[in-house]
Amino acid sequence: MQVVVLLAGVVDPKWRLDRLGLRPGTELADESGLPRRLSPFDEAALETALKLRDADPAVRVTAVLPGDVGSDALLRGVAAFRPDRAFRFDTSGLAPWDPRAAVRLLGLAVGAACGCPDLVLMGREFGDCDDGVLPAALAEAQGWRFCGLAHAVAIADGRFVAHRIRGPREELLRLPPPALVSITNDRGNRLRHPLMKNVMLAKRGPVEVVTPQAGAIPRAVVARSLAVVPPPQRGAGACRILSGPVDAQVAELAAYLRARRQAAAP
Amino acid sequence: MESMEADILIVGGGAAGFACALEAAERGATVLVLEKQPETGGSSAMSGGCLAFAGTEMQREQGIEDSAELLANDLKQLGGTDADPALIAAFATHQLETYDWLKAHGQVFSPALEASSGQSVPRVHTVDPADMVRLLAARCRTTGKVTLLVETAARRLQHDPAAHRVTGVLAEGRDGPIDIRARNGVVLASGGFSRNPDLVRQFAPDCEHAVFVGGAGNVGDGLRMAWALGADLRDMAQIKGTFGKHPTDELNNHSCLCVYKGAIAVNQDGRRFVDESLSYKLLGAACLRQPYGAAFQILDEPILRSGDNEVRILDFERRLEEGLFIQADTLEGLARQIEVPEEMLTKTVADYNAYVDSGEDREFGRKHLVHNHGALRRIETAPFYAYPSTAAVYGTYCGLRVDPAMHVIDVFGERIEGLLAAGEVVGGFHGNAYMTGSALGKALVFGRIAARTALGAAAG
Ligand SMILES: Cc1cc2nc3c(=O)[nH]c(=O)nc-3n(C[C@H](O)[C@H](O)[C@H](O)COP(=O)(O)OP(=O)(O)OC[C@H]3O[C@@H](n4cnc5c(N)ncnc54)[C@H](O)[C@@H]3O)c2cc1C
Repeated sequence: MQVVVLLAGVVDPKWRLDRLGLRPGTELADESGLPRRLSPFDEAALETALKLRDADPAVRVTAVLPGDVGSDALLRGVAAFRPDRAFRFDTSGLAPWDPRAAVRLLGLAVGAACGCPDLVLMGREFGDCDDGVLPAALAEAQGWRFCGLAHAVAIADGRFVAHRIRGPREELLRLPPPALVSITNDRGNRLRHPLMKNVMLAKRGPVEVVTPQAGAIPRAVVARSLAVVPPPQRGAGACRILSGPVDAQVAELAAYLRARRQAAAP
Repeated sequence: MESMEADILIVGGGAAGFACALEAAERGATVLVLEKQPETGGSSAMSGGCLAFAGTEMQREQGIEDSAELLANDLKQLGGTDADPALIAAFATHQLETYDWLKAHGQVFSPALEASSGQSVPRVHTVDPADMVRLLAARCRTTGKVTLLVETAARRLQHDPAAHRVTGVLAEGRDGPIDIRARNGVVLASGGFSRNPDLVRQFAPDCEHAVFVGGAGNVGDGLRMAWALGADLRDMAQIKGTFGKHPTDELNNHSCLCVYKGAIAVNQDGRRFVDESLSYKLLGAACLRQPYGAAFQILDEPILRSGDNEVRILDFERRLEEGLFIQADTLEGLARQIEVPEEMLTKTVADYNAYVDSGEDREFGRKHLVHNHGALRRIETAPFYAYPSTAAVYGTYCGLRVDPAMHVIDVFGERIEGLLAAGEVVGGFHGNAYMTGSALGKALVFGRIAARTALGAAAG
């Protein structure tokens, strides 16, 4: 049973984004030097794959991380979870806001992992700019069965059973392979911690990189610029974040509440 | 340049700084506290909130017999020849009154008392550490005698070389440099240097692979300022990581000490490597020498349930909920998950259980759960758990040489007049090993002593 997990990676939100722009001469966001990590949805997808293997040792997990060399540290982090194989699919050209091109590219990435996957897992929002359309678009393009926003997957009688909650309802979807399931995060699929031993071995081990053929992916959308736009001014009464020393914040909040009470007094 | 003046100038707004400030203000002095970060609290506010006090009314109410003498003996036994008996005596003599002083100021302690690293009886008194610093700061404010300047860093000590006397500091505030005179003395309460990799590398190269946790401002400013005036240093070779930090979890800063409730520590080969009842500083040093610098604490269900949710280092349930424990119905299953040889782990546990039965640990001589406290227990009831653990440097526990009145002493054994120190910047107290609660305890107790010394008040 071949399970491929596609991991997007995001810029680590712990770090301040001082600058935002396109890398000169490219259509790519310049994220050079910014550490990357897995998003919670990536983590949930990876954990789901590992759980399937825990339950059935015949499951073979391949983790694929599309990206450029800036993603290699993250790939080592993924390798520390000991998937059967982990590689970076070199996408020095992937623009995540171009779903059509991205779908083509991810199809090639899965193809590089194995000829015919039984199950492809990916986070409900692959990357952070695509509003969750990529998983469904990829399944459609490849002719795989699809379930979005699952929080658990099991295997029963050669089928995948995806578990998800829609409003007040719990749903179990039975999907024969090949299938693609996008995973949402949930307490039950919080990513385990890697063993220190495997973290250290992964740091020392080689990084496998698969490079797609040049020019294979036509573009639908061309990005010309990228910039930080300050959030729109909020109207009176809307929320405002207090800043400055805590004492000053407390005093300001207290004054505000006092004024409200006075205003409300008959 | 702006200039200011106060009776006492305190560098650092952590537990030591505010304890010193409050004590001084209550004695009528004007105090200026400098804190370089935008927020006060330092490592004190991040800490586990464990305080080592002996002979308290809480202990008496729970039938625990403890005393200043037993505390001093434990500290001496732990610290070995490097721990200064005069500092231990100063701590032991003044800790109980500091406990009472805290209570009188409204400090609330959690009801459970625990025995932890280096303690012969349960003497961990637990507070919410951030609340404790806030409480002390608030009490300082109500005296009307304490001025706090945040985002203001002391840069250099002002020194009169002829008198070998410190007269104030040159500080850097939000609006530029400030020249501050201190009529009665400068107290360095600037914490340790766990956040200064260069200094750590210089003094503790063995800790290279440890995790470092501490207040962002703790980069050794006070240490270096006094060092520049010839201050002597103590315990610099004693920096060690504390055992029990999960190596890959970034959410929880604190160590988890299942070993003190009966777990054993095994390395990646499935072998024990140390007497687990030792001070967690010694366990940390032993752990960093194991393959991959990491180990696992192995325990069973009853040991897991014997944790204490009120004490961060013993709060096993929360770690279980956070998914930090690895769990299995059999030791073999656990071994597979942590990738330790199955036969070795089962043999290690069987051997250990036999030692517990016979009363003699033939490999490492473990006799108690922790230090001289608690009977060992077998590891036998499923499910079994592993807590991945490495060592974390939470504090540097070494630094300036002081006398028992907290005067800073120079390399020739002479006082640097007008310069005092308290808290983590002080060396010579912990020596070779470490007792839980003695760092935060030292910050409070020594902070108050420094205030009294600066004001020329009798120590009592
Ligand atoms: C995660 C963690 C858990 C811990 N748990 C415990 C525990 O349970 N029990 C225990 O006893 N100990 C514990 N410790 C250790 C203990 O917290 C510290 O040793 C103790 O709080 C130090 O107090 P302090 O006031 O000396 O320093 P800090 O609380 O660190 O305060 C020093 C302050 O000085 C400021 N400062 C530094 N340089 C300057 C400068 N140049 N100018 C102005 N300000 C400056 C810093 O910003 C900081 O705010 C723990 C430590 C950590 C990190």
